[in-house]
Amino acid sequence: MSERIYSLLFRLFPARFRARWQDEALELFRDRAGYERGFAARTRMWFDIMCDFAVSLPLAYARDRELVAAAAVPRQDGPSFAILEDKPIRSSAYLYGTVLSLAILAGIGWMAKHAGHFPIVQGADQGNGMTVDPWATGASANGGGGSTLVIGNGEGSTHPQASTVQPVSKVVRVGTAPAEVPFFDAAEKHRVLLGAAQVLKQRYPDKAAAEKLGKGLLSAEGPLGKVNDPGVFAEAVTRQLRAESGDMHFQVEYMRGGVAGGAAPAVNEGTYRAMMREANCMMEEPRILPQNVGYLKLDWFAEPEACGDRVIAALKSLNRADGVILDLRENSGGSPEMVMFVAGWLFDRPVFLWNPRESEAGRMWTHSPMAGSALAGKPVWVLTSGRTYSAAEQFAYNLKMLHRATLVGETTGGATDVGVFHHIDDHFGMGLRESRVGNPYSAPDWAGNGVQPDVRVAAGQALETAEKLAEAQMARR
Amino acid sequence: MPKRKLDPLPSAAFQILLSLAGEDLHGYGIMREVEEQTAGRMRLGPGTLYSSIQTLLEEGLIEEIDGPGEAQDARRRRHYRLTTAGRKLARSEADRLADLLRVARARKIFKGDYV
Repeated sequence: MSERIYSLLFRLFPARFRARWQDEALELFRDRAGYERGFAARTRMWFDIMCDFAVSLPLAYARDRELVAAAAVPRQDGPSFAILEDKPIRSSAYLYGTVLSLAILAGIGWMAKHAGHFPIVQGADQGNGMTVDPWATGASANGGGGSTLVIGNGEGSTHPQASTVQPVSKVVRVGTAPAEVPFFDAAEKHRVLLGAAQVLKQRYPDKAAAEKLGKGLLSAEGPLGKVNDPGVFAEAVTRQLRAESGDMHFQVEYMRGGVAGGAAPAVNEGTYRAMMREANCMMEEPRILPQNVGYLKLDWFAEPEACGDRVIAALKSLNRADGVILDLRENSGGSPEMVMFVAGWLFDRPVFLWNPRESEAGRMWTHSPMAGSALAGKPVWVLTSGRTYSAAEQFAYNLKMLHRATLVGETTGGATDVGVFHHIDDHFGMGLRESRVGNPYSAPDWAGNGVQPDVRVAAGQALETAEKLAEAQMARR
Repeated sequence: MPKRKLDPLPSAAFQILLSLAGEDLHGYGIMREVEEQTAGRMRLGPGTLYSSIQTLLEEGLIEEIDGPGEAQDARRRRHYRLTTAGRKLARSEADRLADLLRVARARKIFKGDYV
């Protein structure tokens, strides 16, 4: 055994030296191994051999180079070619060389794909990325850079879209190959917790609470460190933040494909507008029901710049009705400005609409009364479902708190609306409420909980129920 | 090959020359002899030993001979023998060291009078 180790070690010497001395060196080793027995003597022998290798290897190579230099005497009249080996290269050497090169190449490829925290490929594809919903906020006046994200409360980080038409051009999926965090180790967990604490410190409006939450995170590093799945880890951190603060507007997300760099992805406004208009701004044609109640199904709160006129036209067409049913059962959110606009249409005085994604209280007031509106003061029913998300929840919640509408249907989805999504590192990000304006209502908002309906029925029966309610109310007049 | 390779003579090479002054030895014998004559201070490892032997062979200071044993025996050891040139070089190196020693003595490097 030790002889084999020795002969392997001896292979470190230059080929010429080996060819000449290997046999004798082995003989010498055998002699020594034969005479020097016992632990101490054997240890000393190996120590000698190692010291000798350390000293004589560089010398042997230096000598070998000298030999080569001496053999390859440069010629005056141009480059020369000298054969220093007297034996041809063994064919097996070619094989080994090929195999080794392929192995190294494959190794580099593997490392490029799996090692390091820097995803090499990042493009728009159908991968398991996050859905960036850049115009879902619009607000976040103090947002600075960073992409904006609406995060559903359900599984995964994407928030379900309306089933009928989707604003495809605006939903950008980021990250192609599922490049997971390569080394989700204690150091990475520590980095994520530190990063989250940092984001809290910089962004959370309540500085004292931010400090406390950050400390809480770091002191919980022990139990959190036992979580080895990055997705579950992100959920655990989110849970901890929510439990400790009582604020549901916290979301720590893990993105397999890596976080999109930079600000919200650039989307061609013209294309977006054209597509939205083609989809009739995600509205169904408004109609007046037999009870003389207007019905408008709104599947998305599109940006006023793109769809303001269409929405105004739709609302105006309902002016002659005695009440209105707004169907948000398939509404997955959208622009808070449009929420302000549609809600404002229903009031004859400015009202305050709480919006956790807006930082200034001044921008949470509607511009009611609005020119052209005849719906102010008329009864409103809002239809909700478990697939009503985000901006639609904001709409429903505020109208409910203002006692302006009767909510019919199911508890809404409970999206965690956050202003700006902050990168912690390439795979983790965190969203939080950055508004310094607190929720004026004692009832908790929709984040995590959803909005409870006033009349609870299955989503499929919500319209029917609302119609009956409307009929009853009209009859009372 | 530059002729000045063994100038100054490395101590390992000198020890090998000295070890061969008495009798012809094979590699392990040289190693043991050097160890003995330096009171265990110098144990030549294979790398040092054989590169020194190679140099000495190239310079013609030692030569290879077949060791004792049957000529057919494949395992018969190679022995090394000091050549006249080697003996001469060893002597001149020893003279040089003796000169050094004289100088050291004259400078009263040594304490007491045991040398």
